[in-house]
Amino acid sequence: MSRLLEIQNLSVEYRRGRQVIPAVRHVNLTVEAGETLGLVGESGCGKSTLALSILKLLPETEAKITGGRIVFEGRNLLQSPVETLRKIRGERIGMIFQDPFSSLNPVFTIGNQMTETLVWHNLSHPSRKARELLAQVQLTDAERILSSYPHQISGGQRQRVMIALAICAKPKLLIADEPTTALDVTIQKEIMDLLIQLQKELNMSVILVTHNLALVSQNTKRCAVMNAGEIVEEGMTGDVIQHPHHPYTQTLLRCVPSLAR
Amino acid sequence: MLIIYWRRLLKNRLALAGTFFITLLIMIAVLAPWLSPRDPLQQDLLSRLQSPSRVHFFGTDDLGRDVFSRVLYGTRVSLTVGILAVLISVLVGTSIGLLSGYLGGWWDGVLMRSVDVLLCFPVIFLILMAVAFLEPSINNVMIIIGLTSWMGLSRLVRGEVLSLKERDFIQAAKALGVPSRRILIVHLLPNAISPIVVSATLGVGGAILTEAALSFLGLGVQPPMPSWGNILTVGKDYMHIAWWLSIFPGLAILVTVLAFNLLGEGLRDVLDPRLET
Repeated sequence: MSRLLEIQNLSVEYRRGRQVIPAVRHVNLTVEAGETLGLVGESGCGKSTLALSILKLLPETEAKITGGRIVFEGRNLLQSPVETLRKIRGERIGMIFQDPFSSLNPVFTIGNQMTETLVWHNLSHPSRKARELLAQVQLTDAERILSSYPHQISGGQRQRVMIALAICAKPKLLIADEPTTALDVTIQKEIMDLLIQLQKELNMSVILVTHNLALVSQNTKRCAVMNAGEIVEEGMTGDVIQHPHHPYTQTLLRCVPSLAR
Repeated sequence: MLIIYWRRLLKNRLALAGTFFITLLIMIAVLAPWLSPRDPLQQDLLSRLQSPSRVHFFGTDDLGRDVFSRVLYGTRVSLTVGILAVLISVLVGTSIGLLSGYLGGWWDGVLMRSVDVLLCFPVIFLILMAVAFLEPSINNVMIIIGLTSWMGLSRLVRGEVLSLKERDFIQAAKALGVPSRRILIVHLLPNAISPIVVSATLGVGGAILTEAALSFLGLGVQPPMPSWGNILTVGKDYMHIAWWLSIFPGLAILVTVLAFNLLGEGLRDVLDPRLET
């Protein structure tokens, strides 16, 4: 397998006035082509900041990348010009967010938003393509969905629409930032199954950012555990969960509630 | 969406009254040549300063011109100036507000401090200065009013953008590779449209008042072309003997501005996202 993404020694800080808060500290992480990598950690550990910095989507006025390299397909994203970066976003790297409701523009119908994005990626026949994409994310009632506003469809359907948008240009890497956290458990499973299926179909890599260990153990081969801005443990998911080395991972595993108890 | 707004508007009686009157005004402006019984410029020195009668509904002025016809034609001036001036102001104010809010940082500081400085000048003083350099004409009046009234709107739009750009769908659009220019126009602007519409509607009333004031001072629309403001100027000199010269154009201004304000306030309620059903 070849290396698709390589994060080297990345540090990110948040600055508010004179206060400096390090959010990511000297992180090294690689993603191989076609693999699913889990990135686990508690809220505020820096996992979302790390995910956002890959696409340089951090708020420029507050967040600052203080060092390191993010090499994607042999190119350092941190030094790429804005225009190159814009092409990479969506076309080579897709991203889906936690809350599918606020990720869709409330004043447009789903159809409008999909064709808008498709046109931007120079895809021909946008309305036919939109239907194909909806079928790909297993949304059957395409006509109704396309003519609905975001508030008129369910949370699971919205997340499927977001996934459809994220994969429209067949990206090589999909960053899923807490993709199922806002959904209930049965829908969570459906969305994860869909993501894994799409990953195989499109042969893309997925970074699954989550605080949910069960999700990681079910769906990923390799995972990294983050705490206080650093990656404390990295390895095959089975090993990490069965034989955690770092005390933080051990604590994290102990916190998972079990039905058996 | 539009249907919901329309239904809400129909329920709001005051806004409906405003809409009705504005429609009427627009029709009067368009149909002025057919509605007015006489040529508004035609003088008839034998029937000067006649009080309202069946022949002259609003009486005649100091040169024997029919005040009713002049007020009807004045509608054209007032509406054109009011609406076009506001369009200019919306264009400038919205662009500056969008840029300021979206770019943030240094740009935001410079743009908003300039707005602060402009807001410090009394508007009428700015306008008088501008008119002193340019010649008074209906086009100049429009442009000047437009260019001196966008500051409030730009602040309003900036505020909207500041809150909107933190929302996830803007982030999501960026993650999908949509360019900034496109995000501004396609994603931010439509979400900020309601306060712009409300402010613009209220602004039309203000612009009509300013135009009337300028014409009254002799710096706006030049005689003999009739405008409500310059009919009032003549009326002022004959206030004691010919009340109709001041009352009718004054009423026209009052009712028109009121209509736009009612519609503006109505729209504010109608477009309020907190209202459900």
